[in-house]
Amino acid sequence: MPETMSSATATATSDEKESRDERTIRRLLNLLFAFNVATAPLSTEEIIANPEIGYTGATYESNVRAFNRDRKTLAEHGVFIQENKRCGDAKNEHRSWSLDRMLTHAAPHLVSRYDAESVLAAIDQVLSIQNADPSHLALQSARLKLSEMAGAPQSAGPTASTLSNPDVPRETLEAVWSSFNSRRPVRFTYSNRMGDERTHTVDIYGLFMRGCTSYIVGFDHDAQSLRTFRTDRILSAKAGAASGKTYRIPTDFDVSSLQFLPFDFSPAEPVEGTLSFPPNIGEGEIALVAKGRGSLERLPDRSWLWHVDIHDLEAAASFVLSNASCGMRAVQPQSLCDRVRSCISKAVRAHE
Amino acid sequence: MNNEKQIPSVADAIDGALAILAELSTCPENSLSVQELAQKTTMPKEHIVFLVEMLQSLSDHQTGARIALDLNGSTISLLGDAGQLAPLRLTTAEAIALRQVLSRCQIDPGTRDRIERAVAPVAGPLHNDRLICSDLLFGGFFPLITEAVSIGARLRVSYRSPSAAHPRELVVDPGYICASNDAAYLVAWDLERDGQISLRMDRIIQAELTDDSVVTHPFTPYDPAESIKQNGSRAELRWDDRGSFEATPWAGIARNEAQVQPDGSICAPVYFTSKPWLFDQVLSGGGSIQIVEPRSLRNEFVAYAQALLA
Repeated sequence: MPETMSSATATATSDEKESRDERTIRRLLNLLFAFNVATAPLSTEEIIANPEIGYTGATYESNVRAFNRDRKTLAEHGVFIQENKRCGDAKNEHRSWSLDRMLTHAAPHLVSRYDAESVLAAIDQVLSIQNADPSHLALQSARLKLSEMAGAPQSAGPTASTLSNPDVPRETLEAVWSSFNSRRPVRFTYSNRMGDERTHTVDIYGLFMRGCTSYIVGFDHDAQSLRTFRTDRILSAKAGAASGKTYRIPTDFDVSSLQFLPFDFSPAEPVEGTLSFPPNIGEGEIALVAKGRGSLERLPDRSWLWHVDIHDLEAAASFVLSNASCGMRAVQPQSLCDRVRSCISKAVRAHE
Repeated sequence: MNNEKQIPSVADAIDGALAILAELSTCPENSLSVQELAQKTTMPKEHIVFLVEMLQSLSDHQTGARIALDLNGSTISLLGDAGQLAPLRLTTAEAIALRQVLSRCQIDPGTRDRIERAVAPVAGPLHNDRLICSDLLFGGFFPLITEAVSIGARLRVSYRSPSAAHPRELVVDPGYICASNDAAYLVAWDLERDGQISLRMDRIIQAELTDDSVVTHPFTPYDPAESIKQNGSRAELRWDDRGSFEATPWAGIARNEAQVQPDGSICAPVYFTSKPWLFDQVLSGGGSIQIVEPRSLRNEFVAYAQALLA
């Protein structure tokens, strides 16, 4: 195998003053550049021996391992360097590599101007309303790529300043988002609605957005159960180390079933409740109220029944009454119906 | 990040360098100011300059090519072809974030499919929708409404108020979309009433473009509380205690006029545009919230409540 010690030594001497991170950045960018301008596949030997790229390991094998790690790193950023394999190649045939342009580059010819403008308008609208959504950082970079691809007018879109919420530092949102994507626990300080601050370590399973507020749902290590947290109440956060252990999200986890309703907040065992809606209410309107929870049943007279688990019957009664004018009524259990009537009676008495 | 030298992290540096080259490759005259690049990439200017200098130092051993980046004052220009970078596909994280937007804004399936085929990662799994979800804040007509706003087309909409038995039809000149708390609103000009109107987008049950163009209207910034105050009725309400008052999120409460009573209860003016809505919220308080004035409204409330018991 080619010996690269002499070139590696020269490279190391000239780069002594650079930090380790700078050397890594330079090596990755040189690798990217080499493949971007290459007109033919590059062999492993050519890559390892390239003094500009800068593999300076003690042995050829260690440099090959470093190259494979760098390929993986670039892939995480959407740049794919793939091996060129041909049928009939012997197993020990010298390997060659090239930039997989189909995997790496967008296909703008598939998208019309109308498509691009519709999506950019949607992104801008979402970015403008939620300032503590961890996914906004990724959304902003997605927007940039889409506008480049489509050649759309380079409107600035939301700026960096509008992405940040003064109460939630950007680094905090980055830590939450990267933890979710890398499946590593995140440790954060949280202020609940009473203003009490506590530190939590959570395996984030999911995110949901409700109106202008974002929530994360995850397994709280101290509570040993699922918990939901508002992202705008996270004061600071730190992502788990890249070398740390990852967690698995249960295959039956579905964040839509955890979108909370007012009658969820009780330790009591849930009872199955049934609420009704009149025929003139559309399914879309019911979805706004039901938030994807429970199941809907349409009756022959076109009215609706919504079957949903209820933890707190008092809160459920209040919920039914807050939607009385759109026709929501309690059907069962009888204890819920009784609480609704009791609520009404108390309200009437308070006005006598 | 290396705080001593203010350089980005390795991950941010790679993303930043890719963004710089991709932006310069596609922008007019392949030139942008440092300020513009910083805004687009959300990177600090110091990091932009660091990356530009790093990119300038790259060269290819095989071909001798170099990235020709010129930093002239505050303008960065990409010269030649060596540094040109075709638009990149999204990373998995970016694709996940985008998918949620496409769903939340009800982008039509054909557009979604084309966008995903064009930019979504080809390799690797994406999250299922079971891990990230959102509400239909913008209702079912966001693409059509934004198109109307963009091209200046008048809209015919069917709108359902919370307490109305049937939707009402109206023709409006769309102005802009804004969001507050749990709702998004289309602020438009109601042509019949000749005034500004705010429509909750999730209550628009039908919308279509007309052949007419909008005319200029004196739109004002929309504030839900101010809008309710200007267009609604006023009542005086009482809450049994501060806790129940502060837990009431209604936009129409004039909190700066709230007064603590000797018994610890709280009285405050409340503006509302729908009596049934107000009555429902008072009912849901189970007696802890009362309508104080006007007397006639109290009586109407009692009749409304008793009808529910019947």
